[in-house]
Amino acid sequence: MNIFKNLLKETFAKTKDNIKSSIKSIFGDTKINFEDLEEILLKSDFGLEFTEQIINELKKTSNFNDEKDFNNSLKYLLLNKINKNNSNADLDINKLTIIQIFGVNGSGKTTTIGKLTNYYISKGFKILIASCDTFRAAANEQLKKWATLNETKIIEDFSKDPASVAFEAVKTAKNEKYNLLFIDTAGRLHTNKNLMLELQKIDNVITKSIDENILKLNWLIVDGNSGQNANKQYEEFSKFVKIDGLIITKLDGTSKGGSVFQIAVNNNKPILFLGIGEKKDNLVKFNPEDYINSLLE
Amino acid sequence: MLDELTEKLEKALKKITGQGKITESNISETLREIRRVLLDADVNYKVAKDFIEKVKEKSLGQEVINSVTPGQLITKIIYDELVELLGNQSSELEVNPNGLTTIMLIGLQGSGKTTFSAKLAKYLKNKKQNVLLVAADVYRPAARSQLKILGSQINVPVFSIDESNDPVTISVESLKYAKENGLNTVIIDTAGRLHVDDEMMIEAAKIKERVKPTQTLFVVDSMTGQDAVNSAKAFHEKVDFDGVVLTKMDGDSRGGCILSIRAIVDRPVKFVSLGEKLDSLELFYPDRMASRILGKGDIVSLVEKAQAQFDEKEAEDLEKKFRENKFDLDDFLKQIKMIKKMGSLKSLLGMIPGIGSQIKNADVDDKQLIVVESIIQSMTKQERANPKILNGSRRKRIARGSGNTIQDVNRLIKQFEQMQQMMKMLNKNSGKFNLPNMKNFRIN
Ligand SMILES: Nc1nc2c(ncn2[C@@H]2O[C@H](COP(=O)(O)OP(=O)(O)O)[C@@H](O)[C@H]2O)c(=O)[nH]1
Ligand SMILES: [Mg+2]
Repeated sequence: MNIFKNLLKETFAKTKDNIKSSIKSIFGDTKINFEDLEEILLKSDFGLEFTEQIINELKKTSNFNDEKDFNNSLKYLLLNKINKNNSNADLDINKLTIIQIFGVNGSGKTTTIGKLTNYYISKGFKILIASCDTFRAAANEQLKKWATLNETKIIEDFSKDPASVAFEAVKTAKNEKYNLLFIDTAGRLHTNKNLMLELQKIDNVITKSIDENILKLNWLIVDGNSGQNANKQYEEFSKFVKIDGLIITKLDGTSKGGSVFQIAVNNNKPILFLGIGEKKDNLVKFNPEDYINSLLE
Repeated sequence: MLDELTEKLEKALKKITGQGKITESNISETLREIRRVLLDADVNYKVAKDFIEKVKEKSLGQEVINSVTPGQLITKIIYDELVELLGNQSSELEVNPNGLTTIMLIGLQGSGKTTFSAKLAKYLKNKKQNVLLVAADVYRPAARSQLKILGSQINVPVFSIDESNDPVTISVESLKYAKENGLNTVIIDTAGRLHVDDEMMIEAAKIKERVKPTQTLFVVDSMTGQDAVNSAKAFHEKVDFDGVVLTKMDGDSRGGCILSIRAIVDRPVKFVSLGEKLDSLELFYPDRMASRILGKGDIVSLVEKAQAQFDEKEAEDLEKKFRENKFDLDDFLKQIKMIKKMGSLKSLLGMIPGIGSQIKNADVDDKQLIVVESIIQSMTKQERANPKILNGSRRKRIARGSGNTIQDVNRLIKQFEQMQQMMKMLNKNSGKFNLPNMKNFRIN
């Protein structure tokens, strides 16, 4: 966990310094300048509505005497808002869990599956992967390379539609006693009705072929660079399939992923992992405290 | 149809309608609302702030002239400012007229470079160019295969050195290959890279230095948020590019990031990519983008209306004609054309501040406009200038010529006469009046 903490801290070092110096300057005038705080939150893609809400609550709940007070109040407020339940990511190795991965094009689904596989293998899981992106050129090959890297089995069939591949994979996972099955799906824009229906179909096929001994989860992958459109992504995807958790990718840049934080708060959904690079171990389990601390400490 | 946003704006604008001059206090609410629109569209915080400041500066102290409300005036200033910031006109790709045209694509991971490179190849192939795609992403698993498959789908050769892990060598070799094989356009698809990854940024700069591309294009996901300014700035400083490509525009992102990028880097947007089909590529139109950023066309209709009203010369001419009772059917036709240009009659009515919400459910038939237009067009110049000469046989001819019934023609003439009557009365009552409000166009 310590490595993760450090990784995360490093990742957010820039943000941290930013916010720290801004808060310093806020207290330079001895008066708290909420306008500065607004800027910091907006720049992190928290969105105007959410930002205003935080500031209003902060104004109401606290009277601040010093920097530490201010910091703590803000931290406490954010921490209270975020769903701390990321136990969704702690899977039961004694039964089969099926995780369907979806999101818009290029958000990092396939790469994340590669990284998740690596993560759960280290926890002792026996993992199967299904290649249900039959659309994108060479998507199958990309996933296969990850499977080879992780030494996992992959179910693929070019000639079939994605739902049939998923069905096949679930069957194999059951018969061959796997602990975990990842379903990689094609990227799709949430505005494309046909593709959303296709996703729903995959979802239905999986649901129909499992019983109460099998846990099925749906994880939405969101690019950490995305702005307020992430809200619409969440809204639309959740109209077609139930969303159990969120993963933010590409946080190794300078973006902060605030739009996903806001989604998690507004919909009471857990953020499970953060992607911080393209290598197989560039994935950290989301820890709200660490996340917020790295932002504010 | 009005959405929440327009209603909010209407409310904000109402406060300043009827006041002669734009002042700090009477536009503050409007500006706040515009700021919200921009931030929701993912325009960078700082860029939005500067933008609002500029609009404020331009608006303050402006006299609100005849026939335009202060709200319309501000909206027009906002729209014009937006279009200017977006780059006034669409800008074509530059090619090397006698020799090899090389195009290098750069951008963050997952921004859509590979798909776009295939689209661009197809686009240029359709323009009779001999195109070569170059697989210079040696990092992402299967990136090369992806490009090869796309290339085969559009019948464009793909250059790849599978055993090489050096994008610089691959790119340089591809130029030789193109020349040897009589190809005149090379598109280099590079790996996605983070702007903070120094090693990778240096690599991109190296490719650029060796290839000396005719055009380097920065490919950006239109769903990008606030951080767009940072990545664009870094790519500009460390590699530099000639133009921007905005991808995934078939979604519902408002694409405000492009405004941020334009504010940071003075480079035109060259293409808009929308959809996964390989021919869904468009040139960039700043006015359309401005509409999108402002939100779903509602405010834009308001703006267009304001702009139409701004055609002052025409307005003055018409006003003069009204006043002198010289308004004829030709002028009527002109007005109908103007309305048509602005969109559907109902939506137009809906955009007018103040009456918008009232006619939400009113039944307005756009087809009637077409009928009226066709009838007037079937009239001679003389008849248009002097409707009084329209006797029975003329009316019959016009009806036949325009494909309408004689009743349609009669109704139009009657309505026109009523309108003239109304004008006369208005003229008597007040020495001065505004252009007839669209409300006066009762077509049925
Ligand atoms: N820097 C960085 N790049 C990532 C991360 N996750 C994915 N990527 C890259 O983003 C691009 C798109 O990822 P991919 O997994 O193919 O996306 P998919 O279309 O959603 O399956 C690839 O170039 C990945 O290497 C991350 O956490 N950090
Ligand atoms: Mg994929």
